[in-house]
Amino acid sequence: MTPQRTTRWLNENRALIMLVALFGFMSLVAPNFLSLHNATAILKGASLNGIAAIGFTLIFILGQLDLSIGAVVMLSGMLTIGLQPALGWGGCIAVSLLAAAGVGVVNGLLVVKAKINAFIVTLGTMTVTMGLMYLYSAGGSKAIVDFRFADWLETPLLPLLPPIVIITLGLVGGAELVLRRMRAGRNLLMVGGNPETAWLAGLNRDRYQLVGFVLCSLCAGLAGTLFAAGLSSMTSAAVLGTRTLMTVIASVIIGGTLMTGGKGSVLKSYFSVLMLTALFNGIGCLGYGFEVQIFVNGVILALVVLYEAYAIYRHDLLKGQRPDLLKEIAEGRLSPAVEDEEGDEMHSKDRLPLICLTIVAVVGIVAIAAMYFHHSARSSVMMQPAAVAPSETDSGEVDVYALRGTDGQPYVMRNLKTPVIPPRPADPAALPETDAGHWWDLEYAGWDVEKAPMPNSPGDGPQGKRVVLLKAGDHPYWTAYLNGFKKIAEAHGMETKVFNGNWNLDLQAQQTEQAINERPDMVIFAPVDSTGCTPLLRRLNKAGVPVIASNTIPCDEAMKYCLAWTGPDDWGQFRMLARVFADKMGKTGGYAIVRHMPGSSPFFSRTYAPISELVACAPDMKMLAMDTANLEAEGTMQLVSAWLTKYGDELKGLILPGDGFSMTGALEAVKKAGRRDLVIVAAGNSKTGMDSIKIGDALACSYQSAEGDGATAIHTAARWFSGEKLAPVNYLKKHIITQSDVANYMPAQW
Amino acid sequence: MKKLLSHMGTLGIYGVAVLLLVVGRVVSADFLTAENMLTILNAVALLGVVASGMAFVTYSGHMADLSLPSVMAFSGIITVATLSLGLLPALVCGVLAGMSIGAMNGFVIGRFRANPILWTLAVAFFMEGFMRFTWSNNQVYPDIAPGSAGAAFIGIFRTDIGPLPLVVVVMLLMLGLGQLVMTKTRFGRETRFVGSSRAAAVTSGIHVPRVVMLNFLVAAFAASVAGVLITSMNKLGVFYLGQGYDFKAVTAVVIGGVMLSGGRGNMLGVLGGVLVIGLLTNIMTFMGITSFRQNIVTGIVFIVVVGLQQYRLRAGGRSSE
Repeated sequence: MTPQRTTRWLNENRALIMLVALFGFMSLVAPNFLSLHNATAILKGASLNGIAAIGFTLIFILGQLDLSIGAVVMLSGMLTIGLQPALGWGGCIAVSLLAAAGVGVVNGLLVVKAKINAFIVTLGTMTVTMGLMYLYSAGGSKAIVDFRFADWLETPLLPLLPPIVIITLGLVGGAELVLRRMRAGRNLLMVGGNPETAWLAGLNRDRYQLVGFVLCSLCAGLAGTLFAAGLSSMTSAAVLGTRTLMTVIASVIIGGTLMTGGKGSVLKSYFSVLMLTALFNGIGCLGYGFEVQIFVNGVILALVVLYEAYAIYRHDLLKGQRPDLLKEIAEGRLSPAVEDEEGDEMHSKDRLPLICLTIVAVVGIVAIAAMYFHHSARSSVMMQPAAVAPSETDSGEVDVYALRGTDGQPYVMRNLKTPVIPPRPADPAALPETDAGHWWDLEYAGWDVEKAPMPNSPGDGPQGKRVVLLKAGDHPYWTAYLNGFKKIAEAHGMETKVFNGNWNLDLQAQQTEQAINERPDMVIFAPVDSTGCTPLLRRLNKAGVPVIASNTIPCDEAMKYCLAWTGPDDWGQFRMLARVFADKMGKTGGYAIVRHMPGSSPFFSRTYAPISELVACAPDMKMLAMDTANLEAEGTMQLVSAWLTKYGDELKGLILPGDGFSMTGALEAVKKAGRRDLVIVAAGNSKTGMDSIKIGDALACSYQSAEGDGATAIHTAARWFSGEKLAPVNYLKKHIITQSDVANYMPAQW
Repeated sequence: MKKLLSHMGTLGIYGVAVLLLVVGRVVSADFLTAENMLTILNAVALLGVVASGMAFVTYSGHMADLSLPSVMAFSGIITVATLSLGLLPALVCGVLAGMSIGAMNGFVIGRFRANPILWTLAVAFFMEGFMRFTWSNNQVYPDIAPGSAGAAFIGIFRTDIGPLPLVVVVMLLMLGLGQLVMTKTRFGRETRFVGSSRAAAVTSGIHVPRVVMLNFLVAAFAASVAGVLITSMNKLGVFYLGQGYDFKAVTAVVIGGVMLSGGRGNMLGVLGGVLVIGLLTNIMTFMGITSFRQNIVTGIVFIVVVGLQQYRLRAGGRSSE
């Protein structure tokens, strides 16, 4: 009996055991993992998911499900930041919690009173809540400039314990106490585990479920509110919500709460949130990317689900068996009867796993073969001399200006012309959205900013310097970015380490702490969100780390805290693109714009740069429609097809947010409608887009070198290490690719 | 008469569809044209293919397979990566690769009764990690020189059969075949049985693990086909193709009258659900409703339609839900 009891004990406490084991393991193998600063970072990083997991545990205990928590996190966060200037902290938190509770009440009533399955109800309210959040934020970010509350939340009062962690611990502890020791909590467990007994005991099941849904939404709302308050800003990029939902589901299950209800523990859920946060942190310390993190996360979840299912399966098999008799059979004292018949059936059943294993094995072989084919095909392409050999200067150093990327263009350019900045209008918000002045703060962010105190350049050159790159996420563009980045880092003799934010502001906030913990000579920061990065850049600046921002331009407030920014001039590029577009259309006719992903900065630049430019330079042109298709080919096809039917010949041109999936989808719609006369321009420049320009399907795309983007960021860092003075804003080369010169930019970088 | 009544549940969705057609006609004269109807069909074709498989999972009482997006991406990437073997072998490899994930899901969920949502979520996680790692987060491009297997592969999505695009034909074929399998075969009846009451199915001698396994295999097959098509459309394979199709497909399936609790509904309803989603999006775009507001309308329509279906069943005393 003892080994069984041990197993049970191990299983009951698996979240804590995994947490301790993982912490021990990472402390041993992962550099910079074991430090007070990093431990605080993990605790802080676990607060968003930790608080949301409290409510989610309760809803699981009740045997229900709530898919809307991610959306509620985002709505509450957005309301908190949006209303803070008007209502103050007390008011805005109250309103956002009320909104969250409102969603909970709707969920609860629909499940309890209308008796619709919770999966369906919350899937529906998730969509509705996201829609409300988008409407409120107009697809952009919100930020406040008052950091006092954020600072208070995030500064440790005692070692390891900033208020945000204390609040989380308090809520977790309180909820656990109620669940274990108080009548209400035990009733909740009974309602979830055995509704009939609960009914017999006189408990109102409906009321408990309703309260459960409201509590779940409230927890999600509070999590979102505190998250947004801690950053003094909020993003509307949907990935924050989806990842929160997925992580919370995973951690509640790993913590041992049953989806069928009746069993669960808030504390264990919190332990597994901590475990997953520490796991991501540790894998980052080891230098691996998001792919390894999500893989390990999946394996852990799969093992837990499998173990739980298997335990029940074993239990069912053994049900009704008498172990003492089995023992006698084994000793030969009792001859088993009716063995043959049973054996036959067992035999036929046992073929199933064999078949499965065979299929899996076959496919494994196919996959490996495929990878082999793929790589051999790749390497034959690589054989071509893509990059020009670096020429060496007199001092023996590599001349980085002579290095060329895979498309044959130089990685970095010398002395690009500084653009002329128009004066800022007195009140940009008062101007209409079609006026360029309305967007002045976004377009010319960072040119005219009084910088916070900056660390001084060591002045001893880039050799041997350690640079941490916080990149925004994974995308083929970013793979090419990293190629350029590493190439130039190598040329300068710099060491690099990369963290991948996976488009998730929460993750990037955690990685900022990790980057500080690494004590690098420089951080290159590619923001997930242009305003959400403000407190992160501020933290880096306070920790005395020099920062160069890259790719997405941070807002004015954030630019205070970085030495410089390098990246594409998205607004400028799209103004040039719009002029090429207008010329081709003879400055007349209707056009439509497919917008970028809500929550990103191109969502605005790639929409309003062309609109305002065309209003100024081709007033006869008419903007017929604009909408986002989330950069998906099918969505874009659907959208453009509907526009083509609705506007017919009135629609003469299309402006696309990207030349990959958006281009593919738009071209399909155009071909299906037989409207090849449509003028199409897009942000570039990928293989798909340039192929379309080459054969004349599209008119033009912008030249945005991904490799150059990465290379320029690290090269600018090198210039700073050598003591050069940096301009606050450093644009990449601007150019519009058309059929006449598209060959110069091929093969494509991505 | 009784049979007609029992079909009312699934046919109710066509009432919604007709209503939408009328609304669309009122909104715009260009709406009710063959061209626009074809646009709508084309737009929902991929969704329909995925839904035809997802319906089996839901029908068998396993709610949803959240790993279908990764099945789509995986089958697409494998197809592109094996194109050097020729088009047909590559397609077979791709579909088999996707189905292997379904086989694994079906085995674990059928044999050990693992929770389908959680298990497939875990599979989605580690498949994402696996694909990102193996192909280093890159897009995999086929070689599309004229005459090559890659060019033929790209052409799949762009083929027309008569007046209809190939994707639409595939969708109708998959849904039609699904309807036949669901209603006319032993496997379909067993699935219904398992979905209605697993315990009763076990007691009456149905080999439940096999039935469940086949259900997930069918779902993965449909998703693999959709994956090949979406990859052909995008002209490249990458780990995030197909993202979002899990919840979209469940929405279509459930709106189409397949009950989440299992054992009720049919493919005709799923087709109706898919069409309603297509019509709704199309009309809202016609009306100039932005995608932000479209979210809100879609969510509310979803809850109301499904709520009404459940209410009708409960009123008829045929559901305890």
